[in-house]
Amino acid sequence: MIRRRSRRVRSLAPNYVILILLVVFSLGPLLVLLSNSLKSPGEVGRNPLGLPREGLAWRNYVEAWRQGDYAVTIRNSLIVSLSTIVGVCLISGLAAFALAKLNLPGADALTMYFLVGTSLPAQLFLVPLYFIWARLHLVDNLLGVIIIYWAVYSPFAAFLLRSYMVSIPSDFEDAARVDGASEWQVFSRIIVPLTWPGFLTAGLVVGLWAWNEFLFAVTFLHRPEVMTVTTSYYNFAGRYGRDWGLTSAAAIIMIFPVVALFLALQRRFIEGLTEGGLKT
Amino acid sequence: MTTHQTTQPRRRNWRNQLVPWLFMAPILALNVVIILGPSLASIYYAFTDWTGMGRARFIGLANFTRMIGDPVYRIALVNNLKWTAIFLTVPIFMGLLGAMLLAPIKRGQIFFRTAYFIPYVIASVVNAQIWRCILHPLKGIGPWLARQGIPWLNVAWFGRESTALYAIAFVDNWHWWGFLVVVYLAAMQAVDTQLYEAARLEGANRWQEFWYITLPSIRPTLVFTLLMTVIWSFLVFDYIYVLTEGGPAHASEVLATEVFNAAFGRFEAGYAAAVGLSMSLFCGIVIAIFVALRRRGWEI
Amino acid sequence: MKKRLILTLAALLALSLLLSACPSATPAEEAEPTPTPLPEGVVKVTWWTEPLLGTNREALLRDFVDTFNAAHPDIFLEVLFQPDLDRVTRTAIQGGAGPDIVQSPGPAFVIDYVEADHVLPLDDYAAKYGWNKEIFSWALDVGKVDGHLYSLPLTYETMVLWYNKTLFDQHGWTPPTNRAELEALAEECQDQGIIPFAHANASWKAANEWYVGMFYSNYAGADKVYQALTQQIHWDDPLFVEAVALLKDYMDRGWFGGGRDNYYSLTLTDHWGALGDGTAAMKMEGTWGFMHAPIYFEGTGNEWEWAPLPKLRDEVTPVYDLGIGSTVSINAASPHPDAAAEVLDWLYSDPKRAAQLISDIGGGEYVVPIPLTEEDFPPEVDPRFIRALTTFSAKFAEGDYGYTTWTFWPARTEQYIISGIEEVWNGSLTPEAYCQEQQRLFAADLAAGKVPPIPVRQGSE
Repeated sequence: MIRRRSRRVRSLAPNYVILILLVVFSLGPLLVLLSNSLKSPGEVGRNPLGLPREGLAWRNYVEAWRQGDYAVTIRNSLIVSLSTIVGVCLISGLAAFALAKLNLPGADALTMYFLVGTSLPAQLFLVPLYFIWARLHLVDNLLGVIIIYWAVYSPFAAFLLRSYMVSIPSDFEDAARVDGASEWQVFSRIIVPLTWPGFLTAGLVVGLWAWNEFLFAVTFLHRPEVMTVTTSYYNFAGRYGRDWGLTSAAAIIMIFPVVALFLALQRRFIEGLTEGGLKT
Repeated sequence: MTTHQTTQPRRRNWRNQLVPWLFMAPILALNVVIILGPSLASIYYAFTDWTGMGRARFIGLANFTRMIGDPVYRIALVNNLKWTAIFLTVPIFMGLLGAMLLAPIKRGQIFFRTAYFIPYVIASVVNAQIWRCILHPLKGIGPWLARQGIPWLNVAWFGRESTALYAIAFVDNWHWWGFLVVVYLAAMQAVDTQLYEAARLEGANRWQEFWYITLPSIRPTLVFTLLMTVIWSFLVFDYIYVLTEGGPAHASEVLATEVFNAAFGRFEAGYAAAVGLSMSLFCGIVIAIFVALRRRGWEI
Repeated sequence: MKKRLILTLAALLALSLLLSACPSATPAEEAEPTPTPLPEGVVKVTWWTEPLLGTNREALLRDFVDTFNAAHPDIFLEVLFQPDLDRVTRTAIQGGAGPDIVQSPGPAFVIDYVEADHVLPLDDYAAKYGWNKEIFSWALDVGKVDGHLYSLPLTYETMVLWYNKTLFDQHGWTPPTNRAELEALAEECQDQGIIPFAHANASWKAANEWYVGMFYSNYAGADKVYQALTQQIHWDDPLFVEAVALLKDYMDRGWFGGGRDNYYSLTLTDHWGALGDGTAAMKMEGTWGFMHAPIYFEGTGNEWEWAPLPKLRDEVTPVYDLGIGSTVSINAASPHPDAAAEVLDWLYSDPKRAAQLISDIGGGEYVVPIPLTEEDFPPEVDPRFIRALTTFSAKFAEGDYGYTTWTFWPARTEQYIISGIEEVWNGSLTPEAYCQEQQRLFAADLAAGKVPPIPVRQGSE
C-alpha cells in the first residue's frame, strides 16, 4: 500500500476518449438490430437502416417468443451451455495442468495431435458420429450434444488455460510439493485459484460457443422438446421468406441471456482477481 | 533388503509417470471416441470417389491431383492466406490496444469490456444481417453519405468481386477483436504490478511499459491467440457462407466453403474429404513450427 | 473457497446432466402432444419437413397432421420441423436412423438414396392406393429409378413473370410477350429510373439457375432442352450458347437488380420489397412467389399480378417449365413402412383436403400435383393463384412443358450451372466454355445414372 503512493498519477483521459470511440464502433451497429426488431416485414425492406417510422411492432417480440418456442429452447440451451462450461473447464483444466506443469512425456506430440484434431472440418466426421450416437441413444438427447461439445471445445480451452498456467512461477507449487501435497492438491489448491480468470475466460468462451452452436445441435436434436435456441432462431431464417423484423426480435431474445450471463461472470471475474492473491 | 530399496524409488517413478496421464485421460478418451475414430473414416474417403452415400470406390490420389489442378482450389487457398494476414494484424492490434488502454482503468471497466464483447456474443447470421443493412447498396450508409456529398463509400461491398472478401473480413473482425480485448486483459491483469511500479520509478513511458513489461508478460497468451488465429483462418467458414457463399464468382471462396460445396452441393464427399485433409495439413505445418519454437526454449 | 468452488461445480454438473438426461420431462408448448407411451397397437410415423412458421405451421398441423391422426386411430403421425433439412436427413439416414418419411429437395437427390438402398420401392403401394390415377403421370414418373417408383412429388411449381400491376397501369404498360417487347419495356423502365427486373441472389444463390433454365426454355426452346437432356444434342449447341450470351447481355445492361454488384448483394426482402414499392417493375421467378407477393405488397397501395414468361426468340413457343420442389420417400430402415405409405396416400387421396392445405399455406408449398378444380378450393383463396394453377396444370396435362434445372439436372451439373454463370457474367468465362463444361459434366452424370427420367414433350422425339 505504501508503494502505491509513490506512483506518479498519469492522466487516463486519452484512454477514455479512444475507448469510447471503440464502444461506438462496437455497439453502434447493434442499434440497427434493435430498431429493425420493431419494424414490420414490409418496412424492413423499405427502410433497412433508419429508425422505425411506421409505428413500433412490439408484437414481433411476442410472435418470436411464441413461434420460436423460446420458453423451451432457452431452458435447453442453458442446460447445454452450463454443462459445457463445467465439463470443459474440468476436462481441459486437468489437461492444461498436465501439459503446463507436469513433466508429461510426449507433450509436444499431444499438442500437435489436439490442434490438428481441432482443425478437422466437423462436417467430415458427422456421419460416423451419428452412427455411433444413434446406437447409444444419444440422438435427441441433450447429453449427446453436451458430450460432443466437451470433446470439440476442450482442446482450445486446454491450450488457453495452459498459456495462463505457464506464466505462473513454479515457486508456489514447488513449495506445496515440498510440504507433501499431491498433484491433485497442487492443481486444485494452487493452480486453479491462481488461474481463476483464465478459467472464467475459457468457460465464458465455450459457454458462448455452445449457446450459438448450430451444426451439431441441428444434426443431433430433432424433437421440439430438445431443440436449442439456435435451431429456434434458424427456423426464422428458413428456406423461404425472411421476416427480418421478426428475425431481429428473435435474435435479441437469443442474445439477452448470454449478455446477462456475461455480466454476471464479469463480477466474479473481478472478485476472482482480488481473491486470487496474485497481486500481493 | 537391497531389492526393496531399489524398487521403492522405481515404483514412485512409475507413479510419477502415470500421474500426468491420469490428468490427460478424460480429454484423450473423449477425443478418441468423438474426433479421432470418426475422422479415420473420412481420411479413407479422401482416396475414394464417394458421393456421400452408398459405396465408395478407391481411386488413389486422383482427388489430390484434381485438387492441385483446380483453379477454384487455388483461389480458395490464396483467399485463406489473405484472411490469415488480415487476422494476424488488424484484430490483434485492436485487441492489444483496447486491453492496454483498459487495463489501468477502474471506473467503468466492466462497461467497456461488456460493450466490446457483445458483438462476439451474437451469432454470425445475426451479425451478417446487421451489416447487410448498414452496407446496403441502395438504402445503407453508402448511399446516405453519397447524398451528403461523400460518394466514394457508395459501393455494394459484398456484391463486388474486388471488395467482397475484405468486406466479410471487416464484419468478422468487428465481432472478433472485442473478444481479444477480454483475453489479453485477463492476461495483463495477472502481470505483477510491482514490475510497473519499478518501471515508473525509472521513468518509463507508456510505450516502454507496454513493450518491455506487458508484452513479454503476456507472451504465452499472445502466441496462443496468434496460433489459434492461423488455425481458424484456415477453417473460416460461417461469415463467408452466410454473407456470400464464396461468391461472386468464387471471389470470396475459401477452403471450408469449397469443402461444404463439394460435400453437400455437388455430392463429391471423397473430394471434400481430400480438401478437408489439406486444410488439416496446412494447420499441421503451422502447429509443427509452433512446437519446434517451443522446443527451442521459447516460453510459449 | 476452493473446496466450495469444486463442490459447486460438481453440483452444477450433476444437476445439468440430470436435467439433460430426461429431456421429455417438459414437452414443448407448441409441439404436438405425444401420447407417451403410445396406446397399445398404435404405431408412430415420423416425418421431418422444412421449417414452417406461424400460420403456415399451424395450417400443416391442422389440415394434414390432425386430420390424418383423427382418421387413423392405429397410427400416430408426428411431423418435425427440421432446419437444414436435406443435409441433416442425409446424415441421419446414413447413420442408420432418420425419419420414416424421407423428404428430399427433388427427384435427382433421391437417386443416391436408391443406390445405397436407403429408401423403399413404392410400386406396390402405388398399385394399392391407385397413385397413378391420382397423381399426374409426368410427376409420378420422375420419381422412378430403373423403372421402379421410389419417390412421390410433394410440391410442384413453374416459372412465371411477376409484375407490379399498379405501376404497369400507371405507365400504360402490358406484360411483354416476346423479346422485342421485353427489351423495349426494360429500356423504358431504366430511362425512368425503375429497375426492370427485381432479381438478386444474396438470400438464395441458386437463383442463378432459374435464369439459366428460363433462358434455355425460352430462347433455345423446350424441344431443344429435351433433346439435350436426352443427349440427342449437346449442351454446347449454339442455341444454348446464344441463350447464355443473351443472359449475360441483360446482366451487363444492369437490368437485373440494377447491375451485378446489386444482384449479388440484395436479399429476398430487398427484391420482393422493390417489386412491392415500385422501385422495380417485374421479376421472373417461380410460383412460390404466391407466398411472398401478398407479404411484400401489403401496405404499399400497389397490386401484384403474374403473366407467362415472354418468348426470347421468335421461333420458340412459350412454355411453363415443370418443377418439383420436394419429394417424399419411405426410409428402408422404417419399422412401419405400411403406416408411412398410409401417410403418403393422405397427401393425394382427397382433392378438397389438398386444396385446403395449399390455400392455407399460401400456394407456395405442398402444392401436390393432382387434378384440382376451382370448386375444390375454399372461397377465400386468391383467384390469381387458381388461374395460375389451372393454367399450367392444364398445359402440363397436354404434355406441353419445359424443364427446370433443379428437377431434372443431376446435382453436380446443377451446381456448375449456378457457380459458372457468375464467371460468365464477370467475363472470365465465355458462354461457349460454360456450355462445354456443362456438357462434359452432364454426360458423365448421365453415364453414372444420376439423371432422373425425363418426361417426353408432346411432339418431341
